[in-house]
Amino acid sequence: MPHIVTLNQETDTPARREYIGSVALTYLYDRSRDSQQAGGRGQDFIAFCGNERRLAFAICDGVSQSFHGDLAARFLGEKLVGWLAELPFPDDAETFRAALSAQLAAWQLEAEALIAAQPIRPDLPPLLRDALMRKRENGSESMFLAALIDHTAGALAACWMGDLRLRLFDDKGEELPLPEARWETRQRWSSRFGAKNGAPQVLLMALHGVARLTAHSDGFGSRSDMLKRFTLESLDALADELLSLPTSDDLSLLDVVLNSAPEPRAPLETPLPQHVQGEPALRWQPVAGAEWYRVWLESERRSFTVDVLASESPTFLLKAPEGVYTCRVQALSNHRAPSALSAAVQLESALLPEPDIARRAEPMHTKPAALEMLAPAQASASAVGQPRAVSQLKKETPAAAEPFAWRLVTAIAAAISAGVAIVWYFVHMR
Amino acid sequence: MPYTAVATSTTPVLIIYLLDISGSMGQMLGDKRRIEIVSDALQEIATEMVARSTKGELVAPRYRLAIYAYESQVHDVLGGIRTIDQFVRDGIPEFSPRGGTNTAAAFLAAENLLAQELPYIQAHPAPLICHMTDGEYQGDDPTPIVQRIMQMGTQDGNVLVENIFISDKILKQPIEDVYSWQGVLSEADLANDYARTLLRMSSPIPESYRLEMQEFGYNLQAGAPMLFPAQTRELIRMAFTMSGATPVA
Repeated sequence: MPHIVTLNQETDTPARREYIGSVALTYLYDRSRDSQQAGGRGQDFIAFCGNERRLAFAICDGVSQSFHGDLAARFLGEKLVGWLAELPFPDDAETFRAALSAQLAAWQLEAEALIAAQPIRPDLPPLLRDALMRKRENGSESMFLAALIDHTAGALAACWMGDLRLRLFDDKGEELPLPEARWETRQRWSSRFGAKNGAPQVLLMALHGVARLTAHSDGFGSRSDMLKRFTLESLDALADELLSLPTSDDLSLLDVVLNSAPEPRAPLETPLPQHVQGEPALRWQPVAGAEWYRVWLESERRSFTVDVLASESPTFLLKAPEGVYTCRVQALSNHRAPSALSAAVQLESALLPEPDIARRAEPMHTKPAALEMLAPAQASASAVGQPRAVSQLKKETPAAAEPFAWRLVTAIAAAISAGVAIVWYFVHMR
Repeated sequence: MPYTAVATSTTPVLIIYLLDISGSMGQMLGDKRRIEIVSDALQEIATEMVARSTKGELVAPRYRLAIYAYESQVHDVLGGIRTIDQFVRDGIPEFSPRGGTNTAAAFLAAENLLAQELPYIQAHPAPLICHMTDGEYQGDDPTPIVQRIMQMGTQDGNVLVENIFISDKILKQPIEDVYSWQGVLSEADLANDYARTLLRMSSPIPESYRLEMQEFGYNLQAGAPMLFPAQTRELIRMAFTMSGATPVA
């Protein structure tokens, strides 16, 4: 199976469509308005992994009342997809449930230590530190919905805890009933307790008669009927509408159309990444028609991907635990088949590994927004082959706001300078 | 009016604490002064509110707080309404007991605040007044004011009034287990007239609050009054937990 593709929780991903084997995969990830305004991470998480034979995916909804629910969501989402991708298709529901329960218990042991080691900044206000310490004691929690589509077996294996929804549609767009399915808000996975409030729900079924399936988080609320039929544009419009509501929550959706194919056009051209001399970075010429790029990374320890928007500079800066990474770049579009993977380029990261679970789970943090902040002159410099200093790329953290007093002093100084200049003008020039 | 509106950063809930800091609050309850136990409980519920408002390290302003400490006079402790994220930065105020118990003046201050605020928070959860005292009022009877307040409200429901009575003389039977206690079920459970007065000044617990309290392990009966005989530290903690039990998104 190929690498696990994950969507960045620090930014929003508008509706996108890509083709994996015979399926069209549409997804969207929007953080709640609160998180967007404050620049915080989304608590939801989307991951998938597929080829011509199988597709595994997970949507997780981190519990914001728990300690950094985004961490549990990401940890669990990656684990579920990795596990499902390699799982022999289950023979029956009980076998599947038992295997899943064993995994959830095993992952709990791993996550508990990681969450306990998650630092709480000492400079936070005492009340907030107390609240976070209390939350950390209770662990990080997430609801989840994960599925494996096996094209060879023509069957679906799905599992979930919580109130994320899985919906199936026939080829006429009619929703198929799932009478046995129960979506219970109280159910979730916890880094402290493992599966909480009951055993995980499972579903095994043949895909005969199923043309499409949609998984989404509860953020769609009463508007989830709008997901029966949608276009990329209508999906983005719906997300905008929901984000404007007072109850705005994270939105995540993953939709799979079976037996689909892109327009019969040639796949996108394959990018030709080059190592930026002296930096753990790649750059490549833009590919016509590409709407985003995916960098596939592989080290001794793990494989993962990072998406880079085509509207940004076609550049990728590796920021990951120390090691050698084999990198390939792929061009993608909503309307065309993706390119082949580029030739491999090796990058070496000299960063020390961090104990932080966030770093372990998602070692790459090059936000498109960071590149967006580059001045046009810097971007064009890299395009013509002049190496860019890493320090110019590392703009992940906005500069701290200047103290009010300093801004006041500089404003007064500017006003005095302007006054002096005006007086000078009237005295000397007239 | 189902009390189902959720507290969000755009529709925060207003919670007004009326805290009796009269001289008697300096008396001991167990190994601590009553006023210290109230401060601890306030710290506890503020921490809980912060926890319920926090995603990662971000504190969403889902709660708006006003604190009136009263004795013979009323003191606006926070200098107006503060959102929970502002409250986080300022920390828990300290109280020192003194003076009498002018309960009516405290409720009057709350009524004035509500009259100013309600036109602007009609789409928000119903506000809640959490009144904590350890003795009978002096001066005017607060009951008529409280009854007026209980007729005010938002689209979500009338203003909720919770009373916490720090006393071991309020119930005929002591509460043995705070988690299995079902609440004051009838006037006959109460041991004195002032407790019955407080009962009439207490709103019934909305179902949404009762369910939130269940999440904390408390098993209050549907429709029980928001009247808490705070005989022990555990009961005070439970009573303050109720004040932060507005459903959140």
